[in-house]
Amino acid sequence: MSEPLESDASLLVVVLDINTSAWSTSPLPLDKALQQIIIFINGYLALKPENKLVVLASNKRECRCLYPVDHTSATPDQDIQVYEQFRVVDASILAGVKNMIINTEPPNANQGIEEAQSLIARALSKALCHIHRVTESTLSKIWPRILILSAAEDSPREYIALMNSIFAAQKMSVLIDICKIIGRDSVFLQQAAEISGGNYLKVDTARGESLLQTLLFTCLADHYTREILYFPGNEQIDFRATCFCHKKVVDIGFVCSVCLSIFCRPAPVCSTCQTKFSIKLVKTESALSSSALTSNGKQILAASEMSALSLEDEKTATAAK
Amino acid sequence: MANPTNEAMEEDDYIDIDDTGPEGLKGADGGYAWEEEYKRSWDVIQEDASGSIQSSITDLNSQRSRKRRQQRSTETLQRGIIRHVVLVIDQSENMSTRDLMPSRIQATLALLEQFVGEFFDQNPISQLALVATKDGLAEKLTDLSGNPRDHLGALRDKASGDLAGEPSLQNALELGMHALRRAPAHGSREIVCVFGSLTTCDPGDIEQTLRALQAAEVRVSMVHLAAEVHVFRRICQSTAGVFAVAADEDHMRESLFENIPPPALVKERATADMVQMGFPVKAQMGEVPSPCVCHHELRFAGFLCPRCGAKVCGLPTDCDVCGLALVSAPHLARSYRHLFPEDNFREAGKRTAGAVVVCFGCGAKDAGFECVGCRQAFCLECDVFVHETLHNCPGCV
Repeated sequence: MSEPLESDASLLVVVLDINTSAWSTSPLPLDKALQQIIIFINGYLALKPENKLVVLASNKRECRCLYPVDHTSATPDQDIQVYEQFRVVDASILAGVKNMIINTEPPNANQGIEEAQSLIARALSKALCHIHRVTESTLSKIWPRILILSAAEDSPREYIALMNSIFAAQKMSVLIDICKIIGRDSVFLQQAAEISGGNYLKVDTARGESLLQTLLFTCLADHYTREILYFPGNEQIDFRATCFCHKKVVDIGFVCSVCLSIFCRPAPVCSTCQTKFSIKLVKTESALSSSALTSNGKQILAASEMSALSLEDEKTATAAK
Repeated sequence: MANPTNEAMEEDDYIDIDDTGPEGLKGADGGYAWEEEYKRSWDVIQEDASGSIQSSITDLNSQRSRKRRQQRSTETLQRGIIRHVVLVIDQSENMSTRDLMPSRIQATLALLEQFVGEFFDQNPISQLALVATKDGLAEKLTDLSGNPRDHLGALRDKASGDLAGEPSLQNALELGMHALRRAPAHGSREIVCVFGSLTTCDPGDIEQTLRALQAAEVRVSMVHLAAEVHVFRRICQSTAGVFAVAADEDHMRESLFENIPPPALVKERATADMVQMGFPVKAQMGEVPSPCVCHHELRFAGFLCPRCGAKVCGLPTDCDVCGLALVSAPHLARSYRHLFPEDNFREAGKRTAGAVVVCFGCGAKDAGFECVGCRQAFCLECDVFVHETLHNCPGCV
């Protein structure tokens, strides 16, 4: 793995989470936040002419690429006050976000927790596909990173896909920075930042912290500059797991050797994959009930893993009601 | 891309005895094979504008790897995630042959270093041991451990010693079995050998060793660098392992790396168990460094074992004081891609003329493949990327 040089270009993929039900609870309205994000993006593009940019937006139903995008509509008005390249980017982003919001169905009050979740794993997978394509096609060395502006909550069914994406990012030396604008700390995204080597930042707009300031000071630095800067340290990210049965954090757990689900005390049967364990006292010949995990098992496992890794046990359950 | 007539010729080149009809060796149009049009098989390789054939070769390679990936099973199977693998390296005189550059042993050692790195990347809670065999004897280079540093160090220093004599497969297998005796029943036990010699110098009856291997449920796989030897193949097949003969360096790498994903468990043998594992927290960064129990070196940072409080420097590992396996939750998550593999992509069917299909993953215009699960279109680069690195389809997520 070569060392980054000051002259190397970067590729930044910005993933905007525009989940409308999450943004409706934010003290910073979406249009102001978008203005700040666009200023940050313009700043990034201004640093080096070779810097490349991709912008993806996701909400609970879809994930769309906002820039670069083919313009089939008429070109917007020429404005000589604005640098041309910035104008194209800004216009694409604003038009794309507007389209996505208009096409979203109004939130259904009965759906509850599902509303406030976005397709982050899908956005991350698409971002990595974009990065793969761009790095394969450019001749000079380009250093990729991803910035996720997250508003929605963790979604348990995405856990496995998210972890796969994080490990792929680590292999490709892609830094993942997370900027959490609204809501509680997301455990999955904290792990994403830690494993890939990026930063997890929580912006508390209610107390006057500025999104733009955080972005400019922390996320603008490229691979080379990050080795020189000293970043705000993450408070101890807890990599401990929580058990499936009681959802409490375990120090010493019992792991099923078949499906890797975690329990706080030993049991004769794994509740996730229904495997009977060979207890030393009783010899059972037919130790297995099935040799394949069905898709139901997959969903149960994914749902359990989410609650397994949540650091807030009962609060999650009560907040959902 | 090669034009259609060339691709058709490529398939017809392979004349199979089963293709012949009652007329014998007559070809499709009734004549004999030597009477047909002369096939120019070298036309498959096309030069591009600058005269280079690189793109042709990469196309052929990617077609070959696509075919291999299509045959991969995407069922959710039970696999031995917690693995104990013994690597056997042949250090006999035969390994100094220069058919693999610079010599067989050096090519093998370089490949094994990559193997160790990739193995621990995909199987973080597994353990590896190294055994070398030469002069009719077998010697253990490293004990079963989950730390890649020990193994890489051994590969660099000890394994590149002098080559001598003939290898002893029986001694190596017996030593491997002895090392695996410590492995608990819920983990899979495997021996992977890389051999270059066509002979083996054994002290006893290898059938006895084979029966012992079957009784201990050890799976033996081998990659041979020269030719197929009946005894080696039989041992691999009777223990449900894989035997491969490497045709060239790339093939050797492919065959060896096939042992990296966890093997599917055989139903009658598999035993599942609850493994006690600890999830340590980070130790407080003090002003004074303290020694770790694994290497006895002074360090500032580390992890505290939840059972005995000893400080270890890296995860995953076994606590040297109380023996508890120490892991963190992402290490378990690395194995999920083996338990829940992603769907294969297949060639997309015919589309209406003029419709421009955009790749769902990266937005490129030439999207010729679609996912079996979610029916979204993807381009070739995304296909390669999703199946080799990412392991989840953006549409199915």
